[in-house]
Amino acid sequence: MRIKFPIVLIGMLILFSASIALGEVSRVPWLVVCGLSFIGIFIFDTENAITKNIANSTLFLTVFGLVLKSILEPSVEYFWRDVAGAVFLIALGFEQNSESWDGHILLRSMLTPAVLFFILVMGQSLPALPAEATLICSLAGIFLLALLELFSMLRKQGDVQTTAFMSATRSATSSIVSLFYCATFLPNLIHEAPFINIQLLVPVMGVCLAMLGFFLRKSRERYILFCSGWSLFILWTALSFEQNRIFAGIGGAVAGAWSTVIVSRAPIRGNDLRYIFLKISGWGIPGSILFTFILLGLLPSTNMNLRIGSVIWLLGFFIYWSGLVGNADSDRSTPEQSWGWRQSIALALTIASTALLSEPGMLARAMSVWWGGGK
Amino acid sequence: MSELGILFSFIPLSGLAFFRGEKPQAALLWCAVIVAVIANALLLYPHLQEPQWWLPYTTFLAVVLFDGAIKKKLKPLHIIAALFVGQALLTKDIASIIILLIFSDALFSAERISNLELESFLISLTSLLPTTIGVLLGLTDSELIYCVAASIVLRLSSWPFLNLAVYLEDNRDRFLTCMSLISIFVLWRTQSIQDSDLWAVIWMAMACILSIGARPVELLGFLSLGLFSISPVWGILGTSFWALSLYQGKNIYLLAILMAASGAFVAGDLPKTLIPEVAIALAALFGILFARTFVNLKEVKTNWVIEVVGVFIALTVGVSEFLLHPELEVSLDTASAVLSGSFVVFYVIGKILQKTKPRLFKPMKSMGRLALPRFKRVSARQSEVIEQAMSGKVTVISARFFNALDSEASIIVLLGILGLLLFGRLP
Repeated sequence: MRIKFPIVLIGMLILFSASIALGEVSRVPWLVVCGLSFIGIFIFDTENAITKNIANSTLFLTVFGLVLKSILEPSVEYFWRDVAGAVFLIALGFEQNSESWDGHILLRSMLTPAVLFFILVMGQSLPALPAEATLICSLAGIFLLALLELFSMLRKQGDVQTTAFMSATRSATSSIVSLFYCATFLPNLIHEAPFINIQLLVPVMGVCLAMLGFFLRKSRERYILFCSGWSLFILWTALSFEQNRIFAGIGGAVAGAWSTVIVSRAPIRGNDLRYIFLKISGWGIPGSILFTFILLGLLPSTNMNLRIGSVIWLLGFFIYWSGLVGNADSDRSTPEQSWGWRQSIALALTIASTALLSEPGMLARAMSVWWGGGK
Repeated sequence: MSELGILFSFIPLSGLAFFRGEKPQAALLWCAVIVAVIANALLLYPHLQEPQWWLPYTTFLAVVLFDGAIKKKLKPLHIIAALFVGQALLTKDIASIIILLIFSDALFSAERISNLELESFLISLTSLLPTTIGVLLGLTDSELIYCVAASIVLRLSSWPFLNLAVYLEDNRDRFLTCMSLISIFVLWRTQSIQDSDLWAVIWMAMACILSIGARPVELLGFLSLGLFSISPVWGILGTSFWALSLYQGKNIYLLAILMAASGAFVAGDLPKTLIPEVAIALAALFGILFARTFVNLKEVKTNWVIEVVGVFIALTVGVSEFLLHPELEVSLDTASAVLSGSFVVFYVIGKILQKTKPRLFKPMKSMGRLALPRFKRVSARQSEVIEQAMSGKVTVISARFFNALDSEASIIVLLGILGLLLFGRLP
């Protein structure tokens, strides 16, 4: 374990440095966001699942490399090809890390959505397809990536045994893909009816997802819904076409990936407030990094669709938070974890991030300057 | 520094992640307090020439220090939370106020978070939800005022949900009630009220409706909003209630007098909105209901020094307000006299009757409160029922909702709201 950690870290740094060296200036901020997300996942992986075996390490590094490569691609076709590869490996990673399960394979296997994703990507490249159909395929692919984990919840047993790092990897990939695609390759068709109504459709989907939690008993299951909902929230910020909201989405993408891996399945130890706060910070409660980006993402707007969307998202998050009332039903089969430097850094980061809210304008300006070379 | 500059205090708080010892933790917490104080000071400085801004803030600070001195142990986390409320007192933007109040509530309830029991956070959020929705939808003027009013009712009354102050505080500690009084003042002062007469009536009627089960301090909150609706200067005078609401010793009698006086003052405004005969009849009814609440109030044994300090703060606010605004005039009407008269008469009758018929004066405890949703506690059996309902086999009726509705108190409240709506249509 001690040797694997620096090896994987060096591998990530090499991939990251190579992509920065090879990439255009306009893509560098996106590469940095991607690097921050994945390196964060690796550092905050308190369960040490990434370095647990070679398969996990290789899968994680390959997915990271593919997402970096997708950002470097000059055309949309190549971009989707790389993303499809990453999605397939993520699905494989879920299967690799899940425990034995039964049920109908078509609906419950994570490979089914990966195959569907491939079909959608291939569909886009058909020359006979009109522009509308191509856009629908792209959006369907992004939705599929955001909701990928829901398939694992349909299993009869072993449904939510997947380690947190896989959820975080999916979350990071989904967020970066949706943000980058919307900022770089999204056709102008999206501004016309009926596509513009997607600004309302996405929050409605988010609330429906939150309401699914009514029927779930395990907090881990509801957290999967929350992560999928968070991916949709990031997609919504990307589709807002408002600079400040998109910057909030970019910050939210990194924060979401980190938070997902921080919220481990380990039960809470005693009454240590640090454990409790760290555990619930992944749900975006006040004082957490996610809450900061929720507020920045729900900024008042002049666009009526976005105003209504903000209210719908607020209600969605409210439903998720309502689920936190009561006693936690942590997975008792998972051994308790001792408090380490990773938890300390994660907790310090999540609390300190609240200060970002004090000068939201300054944050947006700083990101705007940094993004100056990008679109 | 912006209105949200106080959020920088979270930077020293983040250091708590690395230390478990009592001393380093205390040092970090006090660092956060210093940052919060600096943020307050920076926001207060531009308002030094405007008494309507610094006077409520000074009253608030006096209340915090007064409470801290009595308890002899100031908890840094509570001080930071209070300073967030202080920052909200100096803030003009409603969105910033919402954020400050959310963080303040979160800090107040931070110590209660054990085993993911987050009901207090949900209560806080529920109370601020209407205003937040209003802000997000970009509502202005009267529409936003309705949203703010809904938030105020949820923050101050114990119906339909238990408010945060009642949820967190114990019987002897009224600090959080005082904080909720301040928070509703913060929310209401930002609104540019056009139908001020109507709103004075609405707040007074709200106080009457909730007097069935609410506590006197909560009624005072509604009355102070009524005062603020008539005139912001009078509203700031209402901030003297804050210090008196902390400890209920002998000063409950002073509170009763102040309540009757402010009620009378608001009642003097009723004829502007209602027919004079209706206004007088309602003033009499209001007097009876207010008296009923105070008759029931029990005096708590308290050190006389505490009482004197509370009264001193209240008096200072009152005198300062009269000195700073010499144009203040007290204009009373027949309705005012009727309210004061009926209050005094029924208070005396109530005190006599209480020995023989105490039930008449008991506040209704079962106000038909709705419990906050607990989605997590769906048991296996309930899940089955829901699944059957989804398949159309069984019709599920929320028993909790109907339990809440069928209680006598709830029907009275609903009738009251109906009456309130009708009042607005009277000439």
